Amino acid sequence: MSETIKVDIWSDVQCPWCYIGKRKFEAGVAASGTEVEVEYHSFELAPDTPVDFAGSPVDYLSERKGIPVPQVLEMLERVTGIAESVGLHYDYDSVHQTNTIKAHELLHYAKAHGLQLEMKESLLKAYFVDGGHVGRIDDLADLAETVGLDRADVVRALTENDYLAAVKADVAQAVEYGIQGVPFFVIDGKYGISGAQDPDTFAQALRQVQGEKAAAAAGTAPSTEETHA
Amino acid sequence: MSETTPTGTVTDTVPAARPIIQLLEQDDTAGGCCGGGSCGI
Repeated sequence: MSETIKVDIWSDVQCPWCYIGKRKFEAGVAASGTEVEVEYHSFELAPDTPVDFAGSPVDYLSERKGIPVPQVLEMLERVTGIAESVGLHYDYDSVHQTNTIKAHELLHYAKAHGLQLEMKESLLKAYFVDGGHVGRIDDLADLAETVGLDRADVVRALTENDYLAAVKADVAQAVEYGIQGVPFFVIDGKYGISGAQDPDTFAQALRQVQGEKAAAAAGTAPSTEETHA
Repeated sequence: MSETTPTGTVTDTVPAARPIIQLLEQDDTAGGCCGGGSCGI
């Protein structure tokens, strides 16, 4: 029986490559034949964004980041096309650019209640596909309820900042690891993979770690020589 | 790590250094988000 491999993923809810990377990672896991335990960690791409930002992602990237509008449109068109190739139907016309700190707190709340993976998928889908708002506590609580969390307790926890420290600890850990962009995958606490890599890259890394774990369990170093029958 | 002082024991709360993450072989052009910096989104 193979040993479960821990994968820590730094990601933001409003990162288009993170949703794409999630799909590619999931495909890589399936192809690898390994068992993984995934834990999502917080990374804030735009912590200065107001919750009720009056504008679209195009407005945000052009006005706040100074990227010319034609370039922003080209970037979004490209990422939307790549999302489509992995089965994700991004709808940037309905995206609500917002601050994601409360969404990250909710992900920590969901982790504490054993539903982090469900919550992560739900938040990404709400933001990129369904035109949901992932910055306001009431909207987040509605979403939390759909994955089986207690709506009233979510409102309480987010209002009282129960998991703010956990979010900040994740951000600090990202700095410590030298993570400058997301998605960022840390496999077995020691190997890093940055970006929405192809499934093969994830599968290869997972097989490598599985081999190392098997060798360690057997008390031997992993063989680098091929065996010929 | 801790240190004993005249008023008691002071515990060093700085966490132990984490092992440096080793980047595996990967495509450096794969998409990622860095908050509107060099990678745009």
